[in-house]
Amino acid sequence: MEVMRIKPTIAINDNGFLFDPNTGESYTTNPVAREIIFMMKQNLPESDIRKAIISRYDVDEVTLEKNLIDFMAMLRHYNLCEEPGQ
Amino acid sequence: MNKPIHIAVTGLNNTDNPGPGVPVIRGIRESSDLDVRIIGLAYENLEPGIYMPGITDITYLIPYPSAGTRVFLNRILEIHERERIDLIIPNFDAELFTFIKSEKLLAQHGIRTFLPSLAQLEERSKANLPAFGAKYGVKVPKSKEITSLNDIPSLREDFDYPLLVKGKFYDAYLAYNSEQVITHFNKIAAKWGLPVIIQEFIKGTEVNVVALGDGTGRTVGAVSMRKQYITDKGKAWGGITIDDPKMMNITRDLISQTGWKGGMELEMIKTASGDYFLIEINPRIPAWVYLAVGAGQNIPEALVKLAMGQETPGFLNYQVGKMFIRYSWDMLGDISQFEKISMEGELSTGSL
Repeated sequence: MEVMRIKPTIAINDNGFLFDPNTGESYTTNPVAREIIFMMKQNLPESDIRKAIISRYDVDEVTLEKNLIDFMAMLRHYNLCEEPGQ
Repeated sequence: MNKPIHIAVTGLNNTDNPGPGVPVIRGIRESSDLDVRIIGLAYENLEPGIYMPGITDITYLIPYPSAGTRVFLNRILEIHERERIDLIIPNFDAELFTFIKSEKLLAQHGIRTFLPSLAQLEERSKANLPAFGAKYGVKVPKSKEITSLNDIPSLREDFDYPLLVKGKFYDAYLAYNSEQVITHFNKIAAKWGLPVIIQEFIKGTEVNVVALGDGTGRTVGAVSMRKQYITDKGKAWGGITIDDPKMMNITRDLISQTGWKGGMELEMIKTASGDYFLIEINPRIPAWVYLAVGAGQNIPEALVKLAMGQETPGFLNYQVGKMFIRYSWDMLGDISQFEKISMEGELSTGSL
């Protein structure tokens, strides 16, 4: 399954501070969110992102799935990502 | 060696409703190409810019334009006799009409200006904004001029609440019902006169552009900003430069079509669906212009160069993510300074 892409203009640094130059909005992310965004910026498929998170953190698949859906919805809400094919 | 350029600047009211004078002067003073003497023109004797070190070289009190054009110009020419003013940069909407009307007279005395034409000034006025939008293909909110309390009940036919009640020069209040419109109408009419403008409220993010047109349709500079912190007067207390190509295109297109001459500020609302509504064009440099200077476009310097007939290449880009945050600072002065500006109508920085 193709993953949503973080807009190429969005900047995120190693501290997880995210800046949208188009709107001037900035966001802080926690370490897991930062990792996910970094992986999304590398255009990794969603399955690889899941595998990476499960291998690094003590989380079951169902909980990860739920949280990932919430997180993607939040990125969409803040207009920080592009849908596949956009 | 060239003589310094003597530049007179108004708008020294660096208050919580700031005039653009002080940031304009800061930009000019930061120019490595310009040698200048800054003559402040103040309307009130407690305008902070009069007392701030390193801003003006000397400041003179001037009468409000409402005192009459002759009285106003006589004072300007009196100051000119003493100071040899090369250029005046007016920074208030309310004084622009007088300066534009007097452009030729001032030029005869060797005083330059770099202002839009009277037609350009009128065309973009709040009352004419719907026609302006239609003419230049820009979306604008629906608006209507009202001149009497009797016009308020019928607003329901054309507008949904909330709506904006605006003064012809300054001030805007959101009203949720006709009672609030009445309150705001009375307040605005007493302060700025009639008409009062009723404007459709567009929900979205306010984004602004400071721009400079050279009068031939060329955009010399343009920087866009989003307000991050807004005062209860609706003024930006903090802001950040943004990269918004669509807004830049609208700006360049408007300057190109209108042949705009001078500084301007475009105020727009960007809706959630990505539409841009032009809510206001201020026909002068805005008070947040120092952000543009810091982001790499010294628009006040470029305006001086254009006015003085110097070559002024356009700015190609600016730093995105540059921020400004205003702050208040208790500056100490002495009663003798206040006495001098009040009694003699002038105060030089040397006497600070």
